[in-house]
Amino acid sequence: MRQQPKSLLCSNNCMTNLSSRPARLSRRAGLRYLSPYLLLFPAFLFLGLFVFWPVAYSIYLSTMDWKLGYASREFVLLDNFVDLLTSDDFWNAAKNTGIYTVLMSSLSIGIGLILSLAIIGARRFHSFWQALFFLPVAATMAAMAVVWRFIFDSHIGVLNAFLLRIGMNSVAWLTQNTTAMGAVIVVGIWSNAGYAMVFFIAGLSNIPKTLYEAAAIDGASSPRQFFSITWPLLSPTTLFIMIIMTVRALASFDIVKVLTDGGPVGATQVLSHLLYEEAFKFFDTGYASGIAVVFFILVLALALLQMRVEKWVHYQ
Amino acid sequence: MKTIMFVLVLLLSVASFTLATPQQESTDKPIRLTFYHYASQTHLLYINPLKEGFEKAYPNVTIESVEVASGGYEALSQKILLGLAAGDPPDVGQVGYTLLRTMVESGGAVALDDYMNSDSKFKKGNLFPAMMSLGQAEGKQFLVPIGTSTPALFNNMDLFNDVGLDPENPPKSWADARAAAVKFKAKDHLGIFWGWQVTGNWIFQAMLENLGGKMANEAGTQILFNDAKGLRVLEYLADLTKNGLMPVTDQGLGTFVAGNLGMWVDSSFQRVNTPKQANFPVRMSPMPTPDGSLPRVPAGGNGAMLFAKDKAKRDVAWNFIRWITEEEASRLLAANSGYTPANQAVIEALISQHADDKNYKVTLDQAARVVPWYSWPGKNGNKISAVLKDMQEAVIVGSKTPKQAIDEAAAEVTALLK
Repeated sequence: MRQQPKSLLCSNNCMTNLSSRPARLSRRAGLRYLSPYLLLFPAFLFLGLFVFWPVAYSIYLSTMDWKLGYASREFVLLDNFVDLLTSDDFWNAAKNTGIYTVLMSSLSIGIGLILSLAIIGARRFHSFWQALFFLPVAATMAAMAVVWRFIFDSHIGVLNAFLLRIGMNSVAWLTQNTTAMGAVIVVGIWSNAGYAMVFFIAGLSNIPKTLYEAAAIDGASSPRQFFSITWPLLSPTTLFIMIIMTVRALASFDIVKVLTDGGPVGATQVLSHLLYEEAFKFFDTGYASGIAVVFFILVLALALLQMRVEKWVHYQ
Repeated sequence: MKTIMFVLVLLLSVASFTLATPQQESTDKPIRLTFYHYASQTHLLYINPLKEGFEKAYPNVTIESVEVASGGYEALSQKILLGLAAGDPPDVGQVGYTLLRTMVESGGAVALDDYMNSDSKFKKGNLFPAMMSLGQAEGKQFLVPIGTSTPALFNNMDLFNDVGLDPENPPKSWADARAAAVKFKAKDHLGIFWGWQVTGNWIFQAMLENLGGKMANEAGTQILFNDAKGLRVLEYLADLTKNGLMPVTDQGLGTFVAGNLGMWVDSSFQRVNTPKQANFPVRMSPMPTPDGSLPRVPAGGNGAMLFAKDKAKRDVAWNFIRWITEEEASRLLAANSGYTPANQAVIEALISQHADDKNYKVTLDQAARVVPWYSWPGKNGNKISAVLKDMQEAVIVGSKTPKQAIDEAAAEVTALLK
């Protein structure tokens, strides 16, 4: 705990002393009292300007009927939210966001865990494998999505060329309702599994080897060691990755924008892309701000929910 | 006293003349104009020469570009609207024709009629009336065309020869196009791709109007696209995709230049770009129509709009907009893009100069047949275009029947127009 300035903590006995001290000393004490706040001020200012103010302004705009660039705006209170909650497009996007978030996050975490176990268990080239699987994370997603678009293309895509070569039928991956979301999820996993892997490797490295040695002496099999030692002790890392992955999945925009543009006919429309379309394609700033507010509440609620899972986390 | 009165009257006369004449500000002082424009690689090919040409003609003016490199005309308009919202709009902005009404309704665009009527250097008679009408809203001229494109058919001549069709005589009617697509399919090629995805309603409008239909009434208060003619357009597209005669994709250019697509309906803007990317000869022809007649072609493309707040800048910005319509600028545009300028005399000169260029001839001949690209009124114009795009996509991917898709779209558009 931070030490308080003595002059403010002493009893009646020293109050007399305080009053008799020179003013310079009390100024110094005041400065000491204020200094933490002064030091925090730049960070507060930054957060205020670039985080809290935009959030507050978004909430304000969500109560307005305003088209970007238009001179007039009208206060409509909750009309944008009523429109939103009665719109099929919104619920379709919410459903797709849920599907994408659950599947992309869980599969990325699962694959990331398998990769990290494989790399930790490998005898050589640890760094090479790490770098290889982490590369998609470092790549610019919008550019990579263009490449994936041409891999998945029905007529000029590499994937269909391969399928045809091995005697199978080609598939319209991005233009069929049944396959488009799957394709988007695959690219999401490709770009996120390496991210989970790096954290799992760090988590695995922190588990004391002695635990495995003791378990081996007791005759525990490899699966038993995994479920009794590795998995419980990786739970703090898993919780952290779950939160990060969920936020990344919810914020996924570039993959959808480049790969399918929300199509075909809304099959891959997610909330972040719907927000973009309303704001920057249809210029409906008030309505788009309404989506942003709902989105913000959703992310906050999910993060809080995940924090409640913390009681099952083992910190050794 | 008389002398003083004379001087005062003289001064007042000069002042009132200056105030009443909105253009022709002295251009001696150095002045900077901000110009928001599209800056994809193909667009820069003509925008940069236009800027340089104007700066050469007006050495005291420097054009400061604000470039939008991707996201289409929507992204460019978003940038302009952001400038308007921030109280710092560009002096001149490049705007896609379909976004004209959005810009006008924002209240930030300046009508050009006063300048056009009082500037003797502006030769309205030189410009195609049909193209100038693309820039009119609320009875005023807000936009002057920079470049106009029209739908056209691009034919892969190698594939035509491969299936025994004459590349010099491409299909003229919808039935001919379908029959040709059947021949392409029989030899494992892709038949025809109608570029339905271009903004979502451009090609649809072209097909509909060549059937005699309309998107909506003049006032934009009642939709008309959902009649039997609109349904026939969707049924035609559904028939093509269902029978494997049209690829189910939204990648027109990529699919065509890959070399296995016989015919592709898209913008004449591709006249310069596509043959360079393709490793086969490309022959352009007019877009097929229901009965094989020459098509009515909705004009795509963009124009320049005036947004300057400052009077002096407005005057200079008008000079830039006027210069774009003149011969030098029109020639620069035609030489560096697939666009057609609005200048009638230049088009006629180009037709005679490029009589041997069959692809160019198609583009230039169509200039006289342009009809306005329908710009939906009200705040939901862009949303309506998106609904129409979804309508076509649903039919093309087979998730809805043409009747179901057009009925649902009609209900949605009607609600958005209220």
